Amino acid sequence: MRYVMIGNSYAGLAAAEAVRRRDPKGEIMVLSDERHEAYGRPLISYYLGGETPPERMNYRPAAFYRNHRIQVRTDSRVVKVLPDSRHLQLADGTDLAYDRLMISTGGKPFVPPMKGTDARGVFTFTTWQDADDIKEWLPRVRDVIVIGGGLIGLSAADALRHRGGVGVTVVEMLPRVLGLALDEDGSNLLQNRMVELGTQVVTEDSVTEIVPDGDGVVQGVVLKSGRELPCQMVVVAIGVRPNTGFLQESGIQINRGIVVDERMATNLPGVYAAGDVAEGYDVINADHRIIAILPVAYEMGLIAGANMAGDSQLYAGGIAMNSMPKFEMSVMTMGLTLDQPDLEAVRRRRGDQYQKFLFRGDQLVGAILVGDTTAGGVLTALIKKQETLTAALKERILYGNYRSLVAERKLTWAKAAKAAS
Amino acid sequence: MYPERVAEYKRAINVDAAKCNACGECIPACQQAIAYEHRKADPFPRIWIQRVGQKLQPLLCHNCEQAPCVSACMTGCRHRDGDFVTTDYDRCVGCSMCVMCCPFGVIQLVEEEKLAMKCDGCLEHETAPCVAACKPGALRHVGYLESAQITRWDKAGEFAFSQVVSAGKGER
Ligand SMILES: Cc1cc2nc3c(=O)[nH]c(=O)nc-3n(C[C@H](O)[C@H](O)[C@H](O)COP(=O)(O)OP(=O)(O)OC[C@H]3O[C@@H](n4cnc5c(N)ncnc54)[C@H](O)[C@@H]3O)c2cc1C
Ligand code: SF4
Ligand code: SF4
Repeated sequence: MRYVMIGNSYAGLAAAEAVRRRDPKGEIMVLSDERHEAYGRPLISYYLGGETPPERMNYRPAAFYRNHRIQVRTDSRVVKVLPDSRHLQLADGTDLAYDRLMISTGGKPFVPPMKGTDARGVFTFTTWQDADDIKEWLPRVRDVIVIGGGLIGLSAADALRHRGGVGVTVVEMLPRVLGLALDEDGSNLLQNRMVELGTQVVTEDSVTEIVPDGDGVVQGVVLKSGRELPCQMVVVAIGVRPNTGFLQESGIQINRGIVVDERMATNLPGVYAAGDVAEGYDVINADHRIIAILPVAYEMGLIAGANMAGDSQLYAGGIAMNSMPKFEMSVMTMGLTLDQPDLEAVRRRRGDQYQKFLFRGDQLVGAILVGDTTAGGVLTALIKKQETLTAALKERILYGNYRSLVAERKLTWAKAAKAAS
Repeated sequence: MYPERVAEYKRAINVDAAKCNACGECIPACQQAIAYEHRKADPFPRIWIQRVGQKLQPLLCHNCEQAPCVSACMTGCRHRDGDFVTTDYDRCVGCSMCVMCCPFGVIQLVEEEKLAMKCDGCLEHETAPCVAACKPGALRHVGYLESAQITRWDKAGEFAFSQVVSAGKGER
């Protein structure tokens, strides 16, 4: 059996691990269009910021590939999938056969159509190469414009701030940074902190044009409001789109991302998909959508791999969440975080600490923790499990000692186990 | 670090909450044992004694079979090492993805050091110092294949619900 994983990252490697556990003999090949071995993708921000040296970027030690007998081909872009003959075509013309195929090609940064995006000094920020390119360009930079105040934009801005030596301005179209994940109160706290630390934030405005000088080097941007900001570098971070271009003629079913069932199987025989490229089940919204975070990518990958190797595993679904200790402030968001008419919101604020809990009836469906994020995983579990909460339990959540919930739960189990024996 | 020796012992730390009398001896024992992993801060204990009404419950890492913290670790520093979920603190960046995903709330972020620490089993000790310190016997080593363990895993899965509990079975 020959397993081919397109994508040498969280989803692809989780699948490779899961396959190897079940099939000691099969041939496993992992393809990547990047130059580097698998690395922690979000780590590019720590790397650019000077916190993580290159030798600590690797996601798995070299021994991992040996022990799992995984063959990796870097610098190998897949340009076509031919599902009828179960073949792949690489950019260099190589033809590869597969029995089971995993598509875990993640996302690629979206660059909006506007003037000047081809100027020198304009970058995206999703790969190690991007971080290296930015580093190389930095010596000639005084001011940077980061387009987009979402996760990736803030990661880039925080890295540049940490590195020092340049002025950073984040331009965000929404009224606040992290607008899709944080509510107004949370976002205000973060934004104040950013400004305190010297990062400028422009909201409710967007870049409409990047202006190059006579040599084609970026020298500024024009905003929708008419403002002009000088800069020698632009980082475009307004979002990523699933990386599915090479699948256009394959007949694979694509909605926004690749459509998968709960086994992570696509409509093509023997072809699976997982990670940022696929639409897995979202527990809270009760539908299929892309949740572009790495725990989800990894877990979808495990399920896909298990099924590729003939096991039968179903994905129970994930929730949107993130942990962002950026700008020296811990922020966690899990599940739903914005007010909705059908949700009860409870807020707690004390100085730089902020907690918000969202309930749908007696279920916790979302939370924001700013400042103290201790034991936040307990809330994540409650949200995922969609547990019906008693009034006392709800009270306990608001009180903030999540570990006591765990303790109580375990004591209940112990009692049940005793009763059973 | 000592995988062969410990693989032989196949020991996990099991908790019998009913025996805990809140003497708190395990806590300094833990702090002392892991002090060398701290660069700046005073050592944080990686075990908590939680009181619920009249009852006590020691909390520490369960070594979940398909550990949510491993799925969530962006650097790969938190990983399965034989029977244990252990951590290479040199590579941890304190991103807290694992803190956000551990259903038992037993990972401690040490902010000054940007490290997220948990009980890694003290595999370099034949008997974990907290176990040695626990006179009432609430903390105890058990063989890894004991059925108690299996129950524990299953319970972990119950709490974590949508974590893929069985996907990892077989790698032991
Ligand atoms: C700066 C930044 C910060 C982030 N921070 C966080 C965070 O804090 N928390 C979090 O949970 N998530 C974060 N993310 C998101 C996280 O990185 C992704 O969710 C995760 O990497 C998705 O994994 P994946 O395996 O689906 O795909 P990816 O990691 O995107 O990997 C895709 C792989 O496919 C390969 N590939 C693509 N196309 C082809 C092709 N045609 N041929 C061959 N190979 C191909 C690529 O080389 C790559 O190896 C961040 C992302 C970025 C960029
Ligand atoms: S998820 Fe929590 S309890 Fe489970 S192995 Fe990780 S740290 Fe331990
Ligand atoms: S805080 Fe450390 S152990 Fe936890 S996910 Fe981040 S890098 Fe991994």
